[in-house]
Amino acid sequence: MADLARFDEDAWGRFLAFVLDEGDAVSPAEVQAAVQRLGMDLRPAVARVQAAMRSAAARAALERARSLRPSLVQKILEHTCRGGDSPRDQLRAWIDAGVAAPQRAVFYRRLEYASTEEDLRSLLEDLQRLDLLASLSREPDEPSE
Amino acid sequence: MEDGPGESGTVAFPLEQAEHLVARLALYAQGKLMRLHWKGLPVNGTAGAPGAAGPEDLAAEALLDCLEGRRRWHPGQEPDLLRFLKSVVDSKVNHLAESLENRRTRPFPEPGDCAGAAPPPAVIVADQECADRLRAAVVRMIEGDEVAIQLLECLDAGIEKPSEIAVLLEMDVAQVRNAQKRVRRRLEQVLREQRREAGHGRLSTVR
Repeated sequence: MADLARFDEDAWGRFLAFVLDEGDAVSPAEVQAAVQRLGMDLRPAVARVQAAMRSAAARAALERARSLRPSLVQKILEHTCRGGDSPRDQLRAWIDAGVAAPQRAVFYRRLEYASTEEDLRSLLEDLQRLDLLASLSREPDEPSE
Repeated sequence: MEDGPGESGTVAFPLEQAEHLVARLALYAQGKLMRLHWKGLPVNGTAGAPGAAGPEDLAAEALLDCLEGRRRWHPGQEPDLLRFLKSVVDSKVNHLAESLENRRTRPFPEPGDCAGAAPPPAVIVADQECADRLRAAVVRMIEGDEVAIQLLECLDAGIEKPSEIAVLLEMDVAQVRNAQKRVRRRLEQVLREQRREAGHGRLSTVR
C-alpha cells in the first residue's frame, strides 16, 4: 500500500485510461463478454435507439414522398400541355401502373363517372395520397418508382 | 466502421448494428465515468436519484443525438463512425463532469436555482466515501500484481504506447496487450463488486 501511495493523481488517471481503453479492434464477442462481466442491461438503451432509427427512417420516407408529389403533378400537367393523351387517358395509365389490384376497380369506376374537371382533380389527389402511403410503407432503402 | 452519413450529416447504420454500438459506447462511457468517480465526483455513487444517467444512458443519448440530427457527423473530419460517436460520449461526460463539479463547489444556490443547489454535506461525505472505497479496492487489486505495478510505473513515467512499454518491460506488444486486458477484467470485477456493495440496480449511476 505504502509503495503505491507514491503514484500521484495523474499517474492513476493515466493507468485507468490505459487499462480501460479497449481499443478499436474488439470483436462483438469480446464486447458482449465485457457487458456480461459488468452486469449491464442494455435492453432499454437499445430499444430507445432502435425506436429512434425507425422514426428517422419514417421521416426520411415522408420527405421522399413529399418531394415526389410535385413531380407527379408536374408530369401530368406537362403531358396535358404537350397535347398528348387526354388527362383521362393519363389517369387511366396511372391507375394501371400504380394502383394495386384490389383498389383498381374502385378507381376505374370513379374515372368512368368523373364528368367534370373537379372530379378528375379529386381523383388525381386521391391517387397522389395512395402513392404517398405506398412510399411510406416501402423500406427506406427500396428505390421508389 | 463502414457506415456512411445519412442526409444532412445524420448518422446511418443498419438496425441490427444498434445493439453492438450501444454496447461499445456503454463500455467506453463506463471507463470515462469510472475516472470521474476516481476523482471523487458522485458517479457510480451512493444513490440512484430519479433521472440518473448511467453508461447505458450516455451511450443511448449519444446515438440519439446523432440519429435525430442534434450532432452532425462530418466524415471529412472523422471518417470512423465509432470514433465520432465516442467523441459525442466524451462531450456528454465532460458536460456532466462540469455540472457535477459546479454543484459540488457551489457554496449557495443561485436565485431560482433549485435543481443545481449544492448537495447536502451528508451526500458529499457519502460520495467521497464511495470514491475512497473504489480507490482502496483498486489498490488492493494492484498490490501483489507485479505486471500491473510495472504498467503503472511506465505510465507514471509518461510512457503510454504499448510498443514502448513492451521495450521497457522486455515483453512483446501482445504480452502488454494481454496484461492490459487482464487488469481490465479485474477492474471490471472490482466495479461489479462495488455496485453490489452499494446495492445498486445499475453499475454506475450519475446523479
